[in-house]
Amino acid sequence: MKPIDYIIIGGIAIAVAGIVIYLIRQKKKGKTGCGCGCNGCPHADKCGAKTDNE
Amino acid sequence: MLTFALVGNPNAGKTTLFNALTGSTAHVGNWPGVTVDKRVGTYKKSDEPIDIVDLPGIYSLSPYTPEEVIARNFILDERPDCLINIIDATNLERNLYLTTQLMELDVPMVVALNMTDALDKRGDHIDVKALEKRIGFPVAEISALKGDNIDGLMTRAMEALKTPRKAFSVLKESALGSAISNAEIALKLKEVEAPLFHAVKLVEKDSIEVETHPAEARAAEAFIKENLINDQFNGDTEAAIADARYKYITKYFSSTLTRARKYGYDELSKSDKADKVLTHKWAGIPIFLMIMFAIFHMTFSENFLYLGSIIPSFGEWCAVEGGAAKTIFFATGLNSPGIIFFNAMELLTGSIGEGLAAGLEGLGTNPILLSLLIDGAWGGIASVLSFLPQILVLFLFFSILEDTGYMARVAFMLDRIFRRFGVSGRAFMPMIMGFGCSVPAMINTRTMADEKERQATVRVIPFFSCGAKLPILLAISGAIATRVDGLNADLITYGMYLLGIVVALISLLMMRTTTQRGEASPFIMELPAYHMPGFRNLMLHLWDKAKHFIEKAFTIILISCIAIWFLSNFGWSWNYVGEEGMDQSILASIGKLIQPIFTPLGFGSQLNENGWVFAVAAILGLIAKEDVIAAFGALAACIGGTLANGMEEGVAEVVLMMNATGISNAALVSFIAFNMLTIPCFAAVATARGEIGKEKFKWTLLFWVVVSYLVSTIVYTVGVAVWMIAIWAAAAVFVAVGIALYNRYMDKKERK
Amino acid sequence: MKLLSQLEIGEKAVVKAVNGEGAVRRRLFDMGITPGAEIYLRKKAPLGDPIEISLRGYELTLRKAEAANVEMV
Repeated sequence: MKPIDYIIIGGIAIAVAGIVIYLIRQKKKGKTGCGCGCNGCPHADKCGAKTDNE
Repeated sequence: MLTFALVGNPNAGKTTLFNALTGSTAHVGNWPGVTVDKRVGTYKKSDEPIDIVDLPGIYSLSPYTPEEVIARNFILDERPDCLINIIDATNLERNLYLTTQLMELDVPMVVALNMTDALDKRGDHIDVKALEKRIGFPVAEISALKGDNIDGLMTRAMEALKTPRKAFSVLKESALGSAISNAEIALKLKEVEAPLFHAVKLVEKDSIEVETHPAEARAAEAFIKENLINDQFNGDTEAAIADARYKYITKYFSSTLTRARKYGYDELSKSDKADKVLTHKWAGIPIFLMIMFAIFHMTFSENFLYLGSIIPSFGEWCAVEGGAAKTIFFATGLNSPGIIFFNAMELLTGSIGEGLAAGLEGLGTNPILLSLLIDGAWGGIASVLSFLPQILVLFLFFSILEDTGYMARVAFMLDRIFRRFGVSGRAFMPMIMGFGCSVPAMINTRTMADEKERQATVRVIPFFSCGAKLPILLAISGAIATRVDGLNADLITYGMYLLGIVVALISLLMMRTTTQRGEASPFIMELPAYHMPGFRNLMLHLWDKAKHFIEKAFTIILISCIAIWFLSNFGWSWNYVGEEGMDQSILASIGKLIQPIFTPLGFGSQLNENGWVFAVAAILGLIAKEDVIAAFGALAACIGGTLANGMEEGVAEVVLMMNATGISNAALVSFIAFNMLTIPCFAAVATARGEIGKEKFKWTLLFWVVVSYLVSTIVYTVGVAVWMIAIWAAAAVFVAVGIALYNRYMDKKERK
Repeated sequence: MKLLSQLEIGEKAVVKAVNGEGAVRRRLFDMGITPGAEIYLRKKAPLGDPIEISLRGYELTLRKAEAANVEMV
């Protein structure tokens, strides 16, 4: 194994962990992958403001 | 913190004002009733921040529709510090009707008179000072769209807070005045808050009110019976009250409006002229179909305006290989904008992949890691990302149609057809939104009045193929087109969209005659004037959509791709099996286990030893629909063979899968149909659960599975042997007769 | 007696009474279809139903079935 391999393995591990934590956080905030609660969706306003109230 | 509530008619510019006040980028559509739940934002330009609540657009405070009940309960229970009643100046009388009801609450209130600029353009004029005097509380002229006088409005609102406002009813001088006064006194003795408001509602025999104050309701009814039974309305107080309100408005308020000419009768506005063509008796529906075709053509065609076919020499020239730049713009003719962007994006993702691979190889990276990064992770993401431009182009066109107000006209034109399937024209909007994303579309169904109709609509929304399913459609259609001469990929794509719509309509009809029985609900809808969509607004929609898609590609899809790579490159004892031994991988063994389920659909056991990839892809689609194509991207390198040169991203992978598994064309179409119609992505499933309710949700899941399985089976069997149509048709007739008999029986039972 | 659903395109008439019951009737009132309101039939949808009317300075669409509740003078 060369140094570059360790860097790649480390990088992938960090990226995967980061994404999983990010997704779990979104989920806990009550934000699903698409649409409701997330600002990413152009129709997000139709989902109401339950999250803003909390 | 202070809380101000925005109240007003649908389409009065409430959401635009909300955005101007709070700086939010929320969506604004030219369709009555876009906001169906309340939203909160903050106004920060005053000394202390103020919460602004955007209530659903309502015409009245009646107890009949969910939006009206939401707004009413909020005002009564949450007691906002001030009401901002936004009024469309071009539609003064009807907008003031709600105002006369809001006056009956003792909450401070200001009127925001919106769209006076449009009024000025007509040459009409409102005497704002006189109106303010007659209404009895501040009126501020604003332009929500341009952001004019927004701060002035808030200053007036802050002033209004300082002097408590007494409730006032325009009905006091009508025949019902004494009945209302009596009820008010009775409610005051009970120490009810907002006695005047409740008194009016009691006299109106409002169902919510009669339940909470039964004794007072009886007293009011007795009084009405004694004193008012012989008037014009025969004791029908609901009619008398609506009549009295409008009479008061025309007498005192409308007189502040001077019209340059009698609009709408003798002379046509620009909007009317446009409508003359767009909703024409004969041309209206063909024009709509042409617009839809043009949109798809602009997005998917590789032969834009059929130039390549019209001018054969140009077509021949296009087909000649001519470097990367030429292939972006020309294929069998001039490419449509959607395809040009697609090609450019593909070139970008392709070069990034190649550069990455070359760089890492140069550094002497372990080949296994290289395969993970390039084939697994990037291969999957790239095959999905290339479709982003086309999704955006399609979405842009739909946004334009929605913002201009054309969609409301289409609902008007198609209502008659929709009614045959048991839903009103109102269902049209959520369905069209479904082409973008099912989640907001399902939520938008809340503007529909009838609950059974609404649930049926929520269930069929996933059949309107969303943006995430587009890559599946395009990649597989493209692959089929390489095998069948004279068949265009975009034709197959249109066909699949149509199949989705047809299945949705048939399902609606079946549901509305069996489990969700009922007639289409009444259709009484305002037609807003056409207006040009704001460029900024459109770009905001697009940017939001793009951001969301990219975020998804680099989170959930990236993770899925890495997972797929691991599962397809390692065996159960964590041994690396690599490309040659993929048959022994974890993913392969799971795939082979579930593969037989899909045999009737054509992509099950009849495929060769690599056939499990289709089963796996179909299951992965349940996480996110983009995963289907991402899975092909990630698996392509492993399954053997090299990607064909000069073929599009996504398509090339499917062609490889096709050759490696021996799947038939019929099975490929059936595979698209299955993915399009089956259980949608996680997010849509969660939304449907919220909209439909726990109990019925189980059946909804079953409904999706059964419909997708059945339709795909039909597609496959008919594709393999055309005579199968006869068997399916016979089955359909059998079912139709069964439903018809059941309906006759139910109708009889109901009549009894 | 003439009903709103029976008006011809381009015809103008005044509302006399609104029949029917419950939510539909109330919605008709709320939209301004009250006795005395002047209504102008602007157009019919390509398939003849629903209809588009002008009243109180704006455009409204409704089905003939709902319009049949409205008596005109």
